[in-house]
Amino acid sequence: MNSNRNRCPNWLMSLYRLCLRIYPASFREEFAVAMEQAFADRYVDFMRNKKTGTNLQFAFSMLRDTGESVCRQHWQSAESAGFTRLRFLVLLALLAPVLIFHESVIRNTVDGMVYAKNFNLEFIRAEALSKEHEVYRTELALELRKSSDPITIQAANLLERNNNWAIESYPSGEALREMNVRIARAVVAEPLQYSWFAKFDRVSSSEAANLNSMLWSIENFPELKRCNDIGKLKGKDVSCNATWAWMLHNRKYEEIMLYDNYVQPSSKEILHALENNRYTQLQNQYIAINKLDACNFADERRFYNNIICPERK
Amino acid sequence: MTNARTNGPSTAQYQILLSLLDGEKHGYGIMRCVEQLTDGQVRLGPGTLYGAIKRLIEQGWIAESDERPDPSLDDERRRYYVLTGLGQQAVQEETKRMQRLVRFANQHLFA
Repeated sequence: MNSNRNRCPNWLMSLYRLCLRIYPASFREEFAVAMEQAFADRYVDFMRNKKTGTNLQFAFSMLRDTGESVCRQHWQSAESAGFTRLRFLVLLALLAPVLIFHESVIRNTVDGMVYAKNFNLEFIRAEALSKEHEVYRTELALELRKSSDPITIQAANLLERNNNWAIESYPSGEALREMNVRIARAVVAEPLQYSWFAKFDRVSSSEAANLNSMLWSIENFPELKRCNDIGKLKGKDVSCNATWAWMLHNRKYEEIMLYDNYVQPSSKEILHALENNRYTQLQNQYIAINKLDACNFADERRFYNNIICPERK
Repeated sequence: MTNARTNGPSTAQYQILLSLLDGEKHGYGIMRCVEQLTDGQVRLGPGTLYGAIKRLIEQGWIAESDERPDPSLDDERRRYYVLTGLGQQAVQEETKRMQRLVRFANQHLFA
């Protein structure tokens, strides 16, 4: 009974066997069985002598021992294979730039390079590329920098300064880039939408308004141009703003992108409401969510009746 | 790993060699002996122990013992190690080296 209680639990033995796999094969073949036995003996002794000891304490002490000795064994086997310290240092020196600039700098720079066709190394270097979300700023600013228009350059400079577009929780790399493109589309919409965007991305509303107004004035920025066209089409109807704001609030960027392309910035839900004659319900919903005095879908209705319906017929 | 400065045994190796002075022992026996020798201050884990044993075998300071106890009294997975002549010599040299250090320390600290 006593010996059973003190016997090394199976899970711990399995864990240790798993750890043993990290050792070099030659070492493992020679000593793994004996090490398992020593481990089990050690456990029994540990539990017998240390009344307050727990399995976890024991596991941690063994883990430390394993970690140290695994490193040592791998180093020794590398040495015996002709991998001298000098060679190691040479390799380290060659890899140093990669190790130093790993993750944030390299990845963001590469992202920027991939995205921006006219990659400007100087510009990238001028940026502090330590945060993932700066990919957005980089790519947007690069777009803006292509222009010789002073207002465009001013907007690019503003983008450089506005560095707290907090999207830390977003995925990195390619997914982040895609996300940023969607956000960029949302950004160049209208002040109310942008104020929501600003709120959720921690940009002050004055900065947002300033940036927004500049973006609106840039004719050669393709996304902006497209949004301008949409803006002309839908006018200044508050319901559009409310819908977009709601979508931004709920981070429904997919819909924004999707229905942006559809020349219908009021989202799938408005379309759905239009198709199903549920305007009142939707209006009430947006009025409540956005604390609006009134809400109508006049533009959307017109657009739906004059353009979408004839097209479908 | 040997002591790079002296080509003698490292601390852990020296302790293992010492533990084998009074006869052959299996891995865990060595661990316990080292613990006793150091008043519980050094507790070798299996990784450290067998890493050191591997080196000691390579140096020719210890060897695996052919003689096994009765299997009914012992686990057959256990491997026993014994000090070689070279190992004995290494312990002696290392002990002398340490004695010199202790003598020097005594002269200057307690004179």
